[in-house]
Amino acid sequence: MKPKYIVGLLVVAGALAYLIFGGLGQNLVYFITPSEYFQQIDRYQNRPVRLGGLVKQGSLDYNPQTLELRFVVTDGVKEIPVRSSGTTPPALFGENRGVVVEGRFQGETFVSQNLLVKHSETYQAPKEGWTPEQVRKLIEETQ
Amino acid sequence: MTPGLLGGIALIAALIFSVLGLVLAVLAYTLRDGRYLEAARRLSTLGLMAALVSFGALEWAILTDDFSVSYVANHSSAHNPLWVKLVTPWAALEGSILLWALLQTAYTWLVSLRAGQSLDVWRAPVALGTLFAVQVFFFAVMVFVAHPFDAVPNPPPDGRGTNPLLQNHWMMAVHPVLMYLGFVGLSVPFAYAVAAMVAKRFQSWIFETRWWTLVAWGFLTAAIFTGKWWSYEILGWGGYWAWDPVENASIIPWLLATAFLHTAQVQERKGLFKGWNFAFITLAFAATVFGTFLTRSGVIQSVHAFASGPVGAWFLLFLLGVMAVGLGLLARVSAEVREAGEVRWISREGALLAGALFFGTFAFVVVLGTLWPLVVEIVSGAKVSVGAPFFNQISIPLGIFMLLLMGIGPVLPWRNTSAQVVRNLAAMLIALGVGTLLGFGLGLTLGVSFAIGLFAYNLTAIWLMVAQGVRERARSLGISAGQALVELASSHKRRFGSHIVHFGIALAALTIAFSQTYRVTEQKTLQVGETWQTRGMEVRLLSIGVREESNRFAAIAPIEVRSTSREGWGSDGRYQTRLNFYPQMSAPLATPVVKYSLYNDYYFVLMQFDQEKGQWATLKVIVTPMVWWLWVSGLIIVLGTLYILWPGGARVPSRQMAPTAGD
Repeated sequence: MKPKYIVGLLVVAGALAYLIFGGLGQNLVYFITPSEYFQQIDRYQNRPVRLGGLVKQGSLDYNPQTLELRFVVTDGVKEIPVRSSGTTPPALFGENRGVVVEGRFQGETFVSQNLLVKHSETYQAPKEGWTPEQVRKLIEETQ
Repeated sequence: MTPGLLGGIALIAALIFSVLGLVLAVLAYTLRDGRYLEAARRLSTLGLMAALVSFGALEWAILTDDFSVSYVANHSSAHNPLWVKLVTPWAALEGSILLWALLQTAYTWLVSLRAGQSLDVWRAPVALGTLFAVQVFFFAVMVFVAHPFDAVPNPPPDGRGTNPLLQNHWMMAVHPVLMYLGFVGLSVPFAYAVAAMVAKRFQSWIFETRWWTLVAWGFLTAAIFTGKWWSYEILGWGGYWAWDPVENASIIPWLLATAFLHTAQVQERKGLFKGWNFAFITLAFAATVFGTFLTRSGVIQSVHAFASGPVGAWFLLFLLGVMAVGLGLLARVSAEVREAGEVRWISREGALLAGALFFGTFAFVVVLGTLWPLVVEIVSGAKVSVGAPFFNQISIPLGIFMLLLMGIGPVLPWRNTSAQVVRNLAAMLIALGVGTLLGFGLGLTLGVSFAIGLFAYNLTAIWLMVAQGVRERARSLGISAGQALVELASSHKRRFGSHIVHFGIALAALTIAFSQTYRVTEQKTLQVGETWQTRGMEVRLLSIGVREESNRFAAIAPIEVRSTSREGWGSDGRYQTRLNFYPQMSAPLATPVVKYSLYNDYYFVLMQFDQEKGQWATLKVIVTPMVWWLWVSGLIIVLGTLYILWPGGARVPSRQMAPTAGD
């Protein structure tokens, strides 16, 4: 092979690698629970995150007229308030149910851009005294 | 005899026929005896018949509500309407494998018709043997792991019902079947490639394989577009592509098959790129298995995971087997398929190879993005997902390069360039610049303006090629331009078909740029009778009602829409937005109403309603430009493919009438 081809190939490969790995680094969306958030608060500031947990009993506040939705996501140990405006609670959304919220942390509050509640017909509410790990497993399974 | 028993027996028969067919094909190859080949051909007919009986038995069980069959008990219901029952066989794992296997036997049978004719006696046993081996895999999976006809000891009075997402739209009857026809269709080119490599006949396979690949490619294209349309019409978020693992699973084989279709032309004409062709075809077929593995194994979470089950490990083994056979054989013959000459980059063959490499790269990047969450989880234990932004960021530059190449490639002559070509390229670049500036002048974004430029550029390329051919022919034969066009189009079907397909792709790219850039979403809660001014429309909520249907219960909120300004043109009408409640699900499914118009698409979704008094409802309105044209472009691409494939005396008259016609 001629040297000019090798140089060209390297340039193309380099550009591609930059595009892929730069892009992958920026666009990874971490999936975390509230406990995991409090372990590494700085890591998750200002980047897209999927926050998984349960909607805390008694925390759901939805105004259908203004479409403002507030609730608290918990994993049994830690809690994070979530705010979402201009949305409608999706199907299967409710207190004590698993939810995955896509959005960013703004200070103390998690501002949601998207609520994901995957449909499961065999959902069971978590019981008292579950560990975050168990809650997480439950949420992953019900997705 | 019960349907369950009949289906089970037919499955075992199909497995036995497939094993026997494989054995006979191997004997035919090793003993060089045509009688074994003849017997293997007959077994492919028997295999097809057994698969048909088995599939028919499943339909029979579903239609007669025989809940002693596990598949029916788990995935059907006596209350389903007839059409839902008819499509239920592919609504879950076991049945969809049965459909896959049925189509596989059909393709094997079609190939067996060619054995001894266009498929010579050295390659035919290997090609048939490969297809029988694939069949053995699918029937074995059904018989041993995912049996659709397992008996239920105490049949329930009613089944658990079909997944509501799948019975919410009639596309269920179309899209999955097209997808399987495309996926399974890629097994034939793979079998031909294996046969060519085993029999060391590296040139003759390419002509017919290109045809088979184009058939599968046409089905895949149709499946991808109908899938987009389906998800647009049903999922209620106003988009049609989310880079979900299952969508990626459909685009990867499509990209690799596209790469092959381009390099195959060079091998046909010049005998170059043999190694590339073997590699692309192997990878394209492997990608179909890879996609099935991804989505059926639960390794990667997906909204499409309707049919996960214990078959993941089997598909992984099968995938490794396919890769090992294809790439192992290629390694063995690599010294013999090395390029005879050097490839000039500035020529048709150079552009075709560059295009194929772009398709290959794109496929590789999509695989990487799809698997990246697994890599991160293994390395660091963190759960991540690769968002759509990553894929968009990668596919935009790759897409731009491909659109540029798509214009240049066909304009460039084989081997060398000429002054005429330079003039053509200049005209195309001018079109690119003018189109982009026009977009800017209209106040569009940079990306959309450039998309207009690329569309103009490709349109110019097609126009120049067609016009030059027509002019030369009209002048040399003294006929009118119209007559020359008709004659050229029917004598050069491949070339004209590819122009049509390329035009469809250019149009699709334009519509994607518009719809992705200018989609807007509005949401509001309305009282009954209230009017909402939004996006050039007046939306009035008329009432809220409920309706009982056999398999579901629906909340319906009729709305009346009037356009008030240009933005809302074409939105006028009365629409029944609805939420469907299925007994299997504790929450409703929204069914969007879509009103297409020549420019904007209006998308109305009933999000929620006042369940106590029926006084208010929350509505979502999504306005997206040019989505209708995306479906048109899909249709154009499929029609172009059909135009190429359509049988007809295309070549003979062209030789008689114009012995000097270039191309």
